[in-house]
Amino acid sequence: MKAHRSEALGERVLCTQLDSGLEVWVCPMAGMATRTAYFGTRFGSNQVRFRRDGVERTTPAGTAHFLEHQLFEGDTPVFDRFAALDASCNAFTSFETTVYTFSCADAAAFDSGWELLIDFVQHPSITEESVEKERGIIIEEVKMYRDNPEWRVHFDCLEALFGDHPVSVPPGGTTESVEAITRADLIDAWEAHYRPEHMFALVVGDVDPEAVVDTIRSALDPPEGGPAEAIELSPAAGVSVPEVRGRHDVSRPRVCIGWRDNGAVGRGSDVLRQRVAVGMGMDLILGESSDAWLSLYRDGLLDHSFGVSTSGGTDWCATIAGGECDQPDDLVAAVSEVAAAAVDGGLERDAFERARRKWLGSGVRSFAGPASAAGSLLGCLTEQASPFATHEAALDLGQAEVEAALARHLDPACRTVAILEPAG
Amino acid sequence: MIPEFSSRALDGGARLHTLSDPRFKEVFVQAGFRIPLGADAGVVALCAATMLRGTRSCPDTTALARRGEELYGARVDASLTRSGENLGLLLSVSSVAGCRLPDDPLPGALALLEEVLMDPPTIGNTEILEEERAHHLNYLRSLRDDRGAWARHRALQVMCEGEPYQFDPQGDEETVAAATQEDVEAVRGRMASNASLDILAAGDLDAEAMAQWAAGWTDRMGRSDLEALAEPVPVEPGAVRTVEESVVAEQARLVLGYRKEAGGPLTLADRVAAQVVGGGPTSKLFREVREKKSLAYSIYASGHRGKGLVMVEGGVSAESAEEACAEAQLQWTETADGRITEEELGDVRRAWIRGLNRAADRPAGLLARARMEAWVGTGASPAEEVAALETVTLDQVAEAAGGFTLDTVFRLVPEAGA
Repeated sequence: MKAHRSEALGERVLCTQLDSGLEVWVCPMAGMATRTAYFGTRFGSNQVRFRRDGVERTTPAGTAHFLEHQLFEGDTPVFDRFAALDASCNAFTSFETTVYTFSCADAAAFDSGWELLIDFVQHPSITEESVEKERGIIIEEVKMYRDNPEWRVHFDCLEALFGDHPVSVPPGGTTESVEAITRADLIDAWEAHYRPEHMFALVVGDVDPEAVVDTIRSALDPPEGGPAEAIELSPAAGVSVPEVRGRHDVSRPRVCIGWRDNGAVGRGSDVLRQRVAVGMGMDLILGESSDAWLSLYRDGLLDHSFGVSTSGGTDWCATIAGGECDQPDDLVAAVSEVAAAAVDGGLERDAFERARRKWLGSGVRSFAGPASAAGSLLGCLTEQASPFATHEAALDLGQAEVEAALARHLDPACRTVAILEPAG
Repeated sequence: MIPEFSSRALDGGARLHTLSDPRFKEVFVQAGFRIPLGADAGVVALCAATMLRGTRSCPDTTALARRGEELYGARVDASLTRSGENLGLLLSVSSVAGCRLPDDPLPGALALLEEVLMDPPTIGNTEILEEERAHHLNYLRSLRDDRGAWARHRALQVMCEGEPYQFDPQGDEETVAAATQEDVEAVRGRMASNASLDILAAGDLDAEAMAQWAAGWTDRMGRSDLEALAEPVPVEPGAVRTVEESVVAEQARLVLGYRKEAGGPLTLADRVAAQVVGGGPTSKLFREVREKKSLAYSIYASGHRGKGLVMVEGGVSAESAEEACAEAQLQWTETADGRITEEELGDVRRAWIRGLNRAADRPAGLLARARMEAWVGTGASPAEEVAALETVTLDQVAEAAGGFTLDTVFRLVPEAGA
């Protein structure tokens, strides 16, 4: 196994790729009570189109998430099988991945848990009856998110930025798309994407890395046939819509200001470095320690609901800033002014040095326990970057590089605004 | 082996609980102040908000945030919580353990924690109060936009009408609007001088150095005339309160409030009963209401330990709200009737211990558990809790569930035609 070490964090991660193509990362953390395992596929809600055996397929929005639910079905519910092993399990679907996870304290249960995890993911039970049963549950999940105004305006903003790209639709899909998903869609998607070539395993805790790899290798049962080829979508240049306004039964308006960045799309450590640079820069100009934050807070234009996040995938990257605000147009104008000033005038040297200390602390915290370390490593694994790429980029980035990333990212032509105003 | 806190008394009636463990890369310190919960909760909330507007050495939010960055991302926070019939103000600071960094940020982080209580720049500064008042009123206005949280909030208001527990820790618009500078300053002084106080610290720390710091801080608080905490309010069982309200929504929210007839905090058996009914994916609610009947994505039970309440909450389709409500009640009744298996009880035990183990891997998790035990529990260590859990029987769980009555059914349903 190839060892990656971070002296600053005092951690190491051992990586290997099995003959089947499965990528395995292990982060041993001696003395921790919990062992955490992730088994995932690079199949998320964005991968709606794929080609397999020469045939191109398009699946309804929400197929990856539906499949995640479906894999928990079986004669004996998967939750019960894990409970019998004294382990907890769960799963989640993002734009770019679907991940199944379990955790437990006991070393022997951990080995059995891996066998069970791989077994239920690799041998799904997808019947017409179970699909119909799960559809009702998923539609309630979709409705639950639809009732959240922050969620609504966030996806309004993504849609304004990316038009009909799948990132504009929540990972769970819409009630209509969930209604349209068939058993055949789920089986096709599983056959195409749940293959070792597309998958990864991640383990964090007090474990023997070689033994973990042996357990995973012997439990794997690769399916027949060839893997799918993802068809990456290329969003058109510029924003799809510069502004979108909606009305909903909310007490206060919500606003999101989004920037699309065509220069930080793709995978790998270099792209991740670009996104880290943007995130660092946005924090410097709109975070709580910035000159702007307190001024906007005192003017009542932002409050503690305000947040900024940068994210991206194979063919998209965006930053969205926003929160609740009674004068959304004034907040948009003020934030745009702050962005323009940062592009024109750069960053303050003192602020940059403080941010570097904060990021060093943040890196140490992200490896404070198995659960947070697994989350941090999953980010790098999903991005196909090296295990400590986020942390290394944060410590290595120079002020000029962050300024250049901000200048590219904050292009006014790639900015959009989504506002959700109270109805009536 | 889950590590344990050791406790000691400090002058002025305060208590210090420390846990030193070199496995951890963080140190988490929290001062938990308690006073009786009442209509003045909004003033306490304003006081907490103004504390985060700066200190004498960091005169505004920007300076406070910048100081935190210099301390490798140390962060001071203030939050409010119900604790039985009392209101808790939690002042916390988290810091990376010093041995991981070029210089130790903990002393600076502790100084910030101390200063937000002792050296606020807000005294006599009406601008800051007015700004925080406006922000807090906005926060209270938008509570209803989170349908799940709003349903929970309204259900507790309905269920506990006339009891201190009806007051939300964030206060109400009327109290917040009327609070004066003197009111806010009086609350700050009351917290420092008269409130019940537990200081908890967990992480890679020197327990003796922490004790020295805590003793110095509490000494500077000038603590005297400690306020008595509120005791549980006895409530006679009555008819089930059924309330339905409507909002624009795609999903109905259901809250069933169960009240412990004997009053007082939840016992271990009460908490196990709540877990059997609605704690996670092996619970009766998950298996029957979600998995068998597909009526909900999210439906669960959670305990208000200090108050002796268990709330069942779920998001369901409007058409299924009646059926889901009846089904949830049936699961509680079946538990009270003893229709529980050893397997179900075993699942709860194992999940409980896994939860303790997860908490044991982070100082903040250990600290939250220790505070709960100190405030509304028996003071049991994790090992004692595990041992007690092993002795809970099916009969005890059934008896515990039977000791609750359904007090309130609250439904937040989509408006007709919406």
